[in-house]
Amino acid sequence: MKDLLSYLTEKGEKEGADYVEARYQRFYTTRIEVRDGRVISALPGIERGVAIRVLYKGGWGFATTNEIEKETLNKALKTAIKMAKQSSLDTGEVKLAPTPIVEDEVEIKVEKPLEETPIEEKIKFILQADKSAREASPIIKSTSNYQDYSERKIICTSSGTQIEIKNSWIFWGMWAYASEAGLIQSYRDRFAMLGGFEITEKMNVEERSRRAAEKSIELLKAKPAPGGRFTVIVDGVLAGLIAHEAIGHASEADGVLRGTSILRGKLGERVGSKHVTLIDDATLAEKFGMDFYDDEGVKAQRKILIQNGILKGYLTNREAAGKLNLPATGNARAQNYRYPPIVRMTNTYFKPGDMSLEELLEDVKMGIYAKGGRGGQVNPAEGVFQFGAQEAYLIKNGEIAEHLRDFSMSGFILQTLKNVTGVAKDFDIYPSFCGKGGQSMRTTCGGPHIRIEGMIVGGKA
Amino acid sequence: MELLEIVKKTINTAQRMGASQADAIAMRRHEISIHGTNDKIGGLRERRAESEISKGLGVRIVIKKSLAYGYTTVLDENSIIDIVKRTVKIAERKKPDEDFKTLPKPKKPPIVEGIFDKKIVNPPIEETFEILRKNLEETMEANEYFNTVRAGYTFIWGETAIANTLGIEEGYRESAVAASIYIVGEKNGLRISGWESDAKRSLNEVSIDYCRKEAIKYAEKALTIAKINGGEMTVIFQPSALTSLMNYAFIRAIDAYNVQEGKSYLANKLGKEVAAEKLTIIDDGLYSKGLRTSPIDDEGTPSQRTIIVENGVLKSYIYDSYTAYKEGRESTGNASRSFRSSVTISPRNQIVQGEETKIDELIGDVKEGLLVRGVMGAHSTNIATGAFSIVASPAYAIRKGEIIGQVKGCMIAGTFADILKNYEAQGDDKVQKGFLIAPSIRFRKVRVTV
Repeated sequence: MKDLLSYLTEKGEKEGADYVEARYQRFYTTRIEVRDGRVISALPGIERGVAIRVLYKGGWGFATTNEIEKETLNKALKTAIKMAKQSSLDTGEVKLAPTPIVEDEVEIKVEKPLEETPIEEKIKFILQADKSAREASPIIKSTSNYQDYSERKIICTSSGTQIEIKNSWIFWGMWAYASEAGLIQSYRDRFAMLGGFEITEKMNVEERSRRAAEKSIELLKAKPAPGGRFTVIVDGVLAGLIAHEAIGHASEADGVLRGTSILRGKLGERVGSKHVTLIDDATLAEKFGMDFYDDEGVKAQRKILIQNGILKGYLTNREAAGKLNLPATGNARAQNYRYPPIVRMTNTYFKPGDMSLEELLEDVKMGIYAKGGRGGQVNPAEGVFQFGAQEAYLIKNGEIAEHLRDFSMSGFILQTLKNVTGVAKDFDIYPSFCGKGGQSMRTTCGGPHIRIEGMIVGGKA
Repeated sequence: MELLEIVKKTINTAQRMGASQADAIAMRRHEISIHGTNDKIGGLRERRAESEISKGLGVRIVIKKSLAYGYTTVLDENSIIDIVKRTVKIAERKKPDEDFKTLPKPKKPPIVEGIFDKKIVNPPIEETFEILRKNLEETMEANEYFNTVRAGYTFIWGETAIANTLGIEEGYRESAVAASIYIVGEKNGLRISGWESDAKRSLNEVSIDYCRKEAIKYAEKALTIAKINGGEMTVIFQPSALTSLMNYAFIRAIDAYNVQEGKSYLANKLGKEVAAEKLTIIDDGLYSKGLRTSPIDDEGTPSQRTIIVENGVLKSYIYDSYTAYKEGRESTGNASRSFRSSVTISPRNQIVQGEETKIDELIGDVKEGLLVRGVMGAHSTNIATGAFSIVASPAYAIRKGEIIGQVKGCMIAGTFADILKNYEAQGDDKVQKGFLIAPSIRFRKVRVTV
């Protein structure tokens, strides 16, 4: 396959392309869905495909196909070149940031390969977790999901880079629904790690399912959240969502380059309070956002984006790095062979500080303590973000008080980070799939407990 | 091999290998997208074009009452035998599902119109680049405060074939084309954006002019900041905002899986008043030129028109064959799958019908209110209660019947059950946004926090 990819990159270059990248991928995946102890679907699949990306005088062309014969691949190359030439007629210059030429083979350590693990074992794993949720109480219903994925990927570029990557991961997620007297409340949990089937032993999903069930029961007694502006203390998981939604997306350099990020032109400026240090680290072992290399063949790295409130860097691909005169940070990631690489986060988190949760709570007369993420969204151009919490409590005179439900809040990127008035020393990190440009990417985000003033809370009461 | 031949061969193989029933879906898809960005500050002119050709086969095997799925993207004979063999093995080892009755029986599908435009098979690439260039420049010049403009076109066409062992054998072709414009601007430190998109089945019907005009209009209105007081007020949702909210707060509530499992706030509400009397909502798989129109659904059931809410009364949920036969009724043709996935339920074209008034009057009658063009966070809606808490962005203040400027940072909270009951009127600006075919809609007494 390497020979075929090299043939394509060389041929592309011969036809005048400035840069050609060919990426082969074969992946095996299994998805299992269980509802109330019943296997709704157990779906294994295998795919192979090739992506070809061409840069010609500043214009980009991309073609992908899952028909892998020399003839169709030649056709795909031709299409990509044609598209790049068309693009180039009306475009500015593109200078890719220089990166070392790499020849490497890397792989995630796997003891029990996913493809060789019988599907019965996988079904048993998820059924046991699902059962432990419903064993918590007769008023619980549950939905559980399992997905595993193992891939072999080869990246070849016309600069001479040739990298083979073997990767493997497992994702588990569940929803617990508690119902009583016409009221239903839900709580979700997720966990994911890189590795073979052996990592299921470390995932603790039975305990997690039971806890989710108990949390959903507690929510039945919670009151609707109030609306207005509040001091909010968030736990590490929610802090992670802020790191991801509120600042992570805006620090992606493709958006900076295109003028769709509020952080353009702010390098070296204060964007947060002195408590705020933000890191994106693609090298964290086993973590769901970990990479060896990105899909342009650039080595994965640990990057400090914000240091004590000062914006230090952006996440880049080679194009944006070249244009902005910054280093390529290895953040060009593609969901799979069907997509071109775009700038993405990996493992993104706020660095812990030195306070305790009690110290954060102490000074809050009236506020909200929110825990656990229920997804979020951002418009990086305007800097507005939103996210939901799993649990929330009123804070009265420094003490945690009434339990609240259906809690969601919003803020503005630059204001919110400047309003961080305290950062705890604990730490939590949480996996999620991040969506951007139609591509779903494995990431984690995390941090310690943090306190933010003046958040907008949308509530009914 | 033609797709229909492939699916027939697949189910025959399945029967030979011991399947009691089986169905197969094969898809081929061609997609070309072209995008451009012009940026004044960085002097950027970026163009990129992407092409995807893909195909795949999904198979569902039933052995007694056990169901299993499998898929492959390699469609030669050996790969088909291999995927069927592996899927049969899973079905043999799975516990039977007593609620499963049968795969759908064949019924003659209706004839649908306007879902395939052969011009999209070879889209006009050079012309599209030229149209994008012109629109990028014109949009940028429309206002001195605009800094970045993005514009794009996507052309898709594909074929689908479905067969099952009860005798269904159907195939069809379809196409779609989408255009979009997105503007980012800044005035005295105030960051604004404006966008619009348009998607149609055929090339001549999509209008980038419409996108440009609407995007400019709302980006310009955003250059002024307006303050509102919050509290309970009249809110007009534009179709783009309503699509995101309804997807999570309504569609999931009428999905028969959620209803049968008691997870929906609309469970046990059939025949009851769930919305304002003026409101009717129809799920229509036959709507002429609709983006979700096709002769059959993804398990071969003929498409149909299903009344969901009629004059405020809940009439039906949406079903695939599994959930329908479980209740002893017929599928509503809402089975949805790709070759990669198992069957779930999706809306077809959902049409909102109600008291129609001119859009100028819909806004003009509002003394103090909010116009919402987009929402964020609808995915965190609690479907069991219908409770949602979302950011309205972009949103505009209406005072004395005029849009006076954008409102930054406001949230809307409530339950969708209340929203349905507080429906007041709708405009005459009907468009299709995703599954939804609706105009701007006005609701009373919506809780807004600023």
